[in-house]
Amino acid sequence: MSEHRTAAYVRTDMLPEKAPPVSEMGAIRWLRENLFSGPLNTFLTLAGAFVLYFLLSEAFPWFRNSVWVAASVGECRDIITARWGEGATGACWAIIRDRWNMFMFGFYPRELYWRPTLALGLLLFAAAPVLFSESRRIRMIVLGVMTLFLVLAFPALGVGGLATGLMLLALVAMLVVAWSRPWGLLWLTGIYPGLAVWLLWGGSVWVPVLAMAGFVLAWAAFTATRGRGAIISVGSAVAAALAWWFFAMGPVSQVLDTYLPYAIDAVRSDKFGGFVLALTIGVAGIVLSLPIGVVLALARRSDMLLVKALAVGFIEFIRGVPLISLLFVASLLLNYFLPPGTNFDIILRVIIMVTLFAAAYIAEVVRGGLAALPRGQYEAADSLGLDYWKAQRLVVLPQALKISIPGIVSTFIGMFKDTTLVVFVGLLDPLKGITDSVRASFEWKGAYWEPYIFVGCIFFIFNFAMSRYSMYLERRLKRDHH
Amino acid sequence: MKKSVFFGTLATAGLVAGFAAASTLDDVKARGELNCGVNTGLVGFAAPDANGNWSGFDVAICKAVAAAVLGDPSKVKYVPTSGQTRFTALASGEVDVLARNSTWTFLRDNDLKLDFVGVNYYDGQGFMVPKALGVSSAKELDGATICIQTGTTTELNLADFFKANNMTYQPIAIDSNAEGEQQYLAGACDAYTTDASGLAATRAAFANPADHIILPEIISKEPLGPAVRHGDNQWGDIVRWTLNALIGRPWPDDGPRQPLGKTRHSGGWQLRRNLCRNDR
Repeated sequence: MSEHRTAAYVRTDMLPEKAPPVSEMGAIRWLRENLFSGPLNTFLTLAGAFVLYFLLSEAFPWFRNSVWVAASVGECRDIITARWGEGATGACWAIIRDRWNMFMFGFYPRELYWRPTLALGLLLFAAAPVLFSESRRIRMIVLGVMTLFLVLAFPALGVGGLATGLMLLALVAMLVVAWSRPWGLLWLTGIYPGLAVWLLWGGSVWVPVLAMAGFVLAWAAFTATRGRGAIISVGSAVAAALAWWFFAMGPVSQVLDTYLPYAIDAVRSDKFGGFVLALTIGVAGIVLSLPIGVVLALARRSDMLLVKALAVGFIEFIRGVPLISLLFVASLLLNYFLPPGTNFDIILRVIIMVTLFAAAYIAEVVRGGLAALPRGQYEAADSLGLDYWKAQRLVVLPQALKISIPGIVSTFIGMFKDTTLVVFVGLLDPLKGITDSVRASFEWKGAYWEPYIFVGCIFFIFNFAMSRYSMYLERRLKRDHH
Repeated sequence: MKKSVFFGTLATAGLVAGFAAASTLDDVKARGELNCGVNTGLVGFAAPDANGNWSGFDVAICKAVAAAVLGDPSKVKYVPTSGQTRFTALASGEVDVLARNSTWTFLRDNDLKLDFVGVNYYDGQGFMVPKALGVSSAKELDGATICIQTGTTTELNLADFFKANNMTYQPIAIDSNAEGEQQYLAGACDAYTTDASGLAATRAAFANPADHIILPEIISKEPLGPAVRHGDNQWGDIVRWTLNALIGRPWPDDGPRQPLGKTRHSGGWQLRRNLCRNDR
């Protein structure tokens, strides 16, 4: 800089920094910009504050006056009156405490509560290779929490110390495997469906084992006929599995039951209820509907007329009728067509209907993902010389499914909530079935909000977890952040 | 050709179903268990306790039939049925007896092919109002708002009653008894109408039962009773006489010594009085 003259009236030294005006900083600025930025917003803020105040002033005393231990609604009211004076109202959570087992397990035999609990715990272990394969930290947190939950829950459910210790050993071994290799627990994923069914319904160990063997057989038939085209190999796999399930499985399981009998106490489907029922239907529906939905979506975009027509007809029919009518068909109409004396399990029927229902929606969501892929991706796959299935598996579906994640997860969340509709076919779902039957006892008649709030909270926990997981998955699969 | 085979198979399956269902008694004996359709939960009629043991007025019939047929009242599988599924569950063979506080009506007996074997509870539609309303008769309810469950016979009864008495009312539709209680207590309606048994149970569960009265008018007749499938008379007889045995005292083989009406009063009416008492 060259020398420059400064006039006498020009200040030469800097003024010290001043704090910004009060209205332009801190909370006041935030309030002004966010809540009172104009007449309309000011009005809306005040109205909102009033509504909030009204709701809180109504609800807060009710929550504050909660009673946790009582034997009946009447006793709750007496306690509230004694503690907070005449005319006070309060929540009577004692109903949840008293009927906790019913909300959780329905009429499941009390001494067997550990079985559904273990099935739920192992669900995450079995899902870990699929859901949490990329991050060891998340995997270990999830599985560690689950191990802790099981170890704490087992003694509370009346399981002996030795059994709990053995289970802890097994879980820790699995934790080590999961720590060292992301796909180390894949064997558990494979056997989990059979294991879960066996834990939930009990009975002979051979029925689930042999049912699972049907899939192995299907796989063997598929690989044996591999080179002869997709239709032949898929067809022979399906034929082998069906033949096994319908004709061979019964005699074989009888023979095995005679010579190598091993069974645990069987639990009938009418004993299921509460969240055991909701989770059984929900998890089975989620796991089964995704592959079916993907296949339907591909079928609907197929060039083969018959395949396409069948897929369109199925999807449009299922989406065109309400879920409740499908459930009614499953529970009532089927009985007219089946031979008398057939014992077609009601939960199985409901699972099938819920699965088909969700699959139709998933198919449309996935079709949206397929349609969103640029045509160039399909052409690129073709130009590489990939056949149809390889092109779908390696190029198209990974991208299409990634696009569809939010839609798929919303369908899952919706389906999980829809499991409460089974109350209309006489199954005791947690929201209305169990709640109504609890309220039908003389002790708890008159409690209205508490069961709904409780069941709603549990559903929220599960659904929020699913939603957060889908957001994590989207972040993980994001590939456009160069 | 193929089509006719298919329909033929269906028809045969239907016939087989018809024949096989003809002997419910044999089915129950072979199964070793009675499938009994009950309410999913209704105070006094059917409700499970914390251990899953069912009890109640309708449940007693299930237990009695199981005791009569199988010799063990515990050999019952309770099938909770909703209002929508109950009759189809019976017709399709999912349950052997339907003991689910169902009103014996002309249509149900004839069109739905059911047989009601008797009446175990004479219900009737009544009204409950807050004492503060100052009403002592249903005829003073002109212009009132009334909470009423949708899709039930009570809706029609209510309309008939008000029309016959040249009165008007405003219905507030509710879905279940629990919701009705809540709306009524919140002051959404002046009066709550449903079967008198339900009113009595609801009122008993209020914080201050004395603040509410059940009006004396019973505007409908609701004979509730267990039902079986039409056409299986043997099974119907078993359930009917199990019910009769429960209602009266045990009758000797040569028939009732007292007139039928009087005998019924000894049991049934006492039960009814107990359940319907207003001051419970």
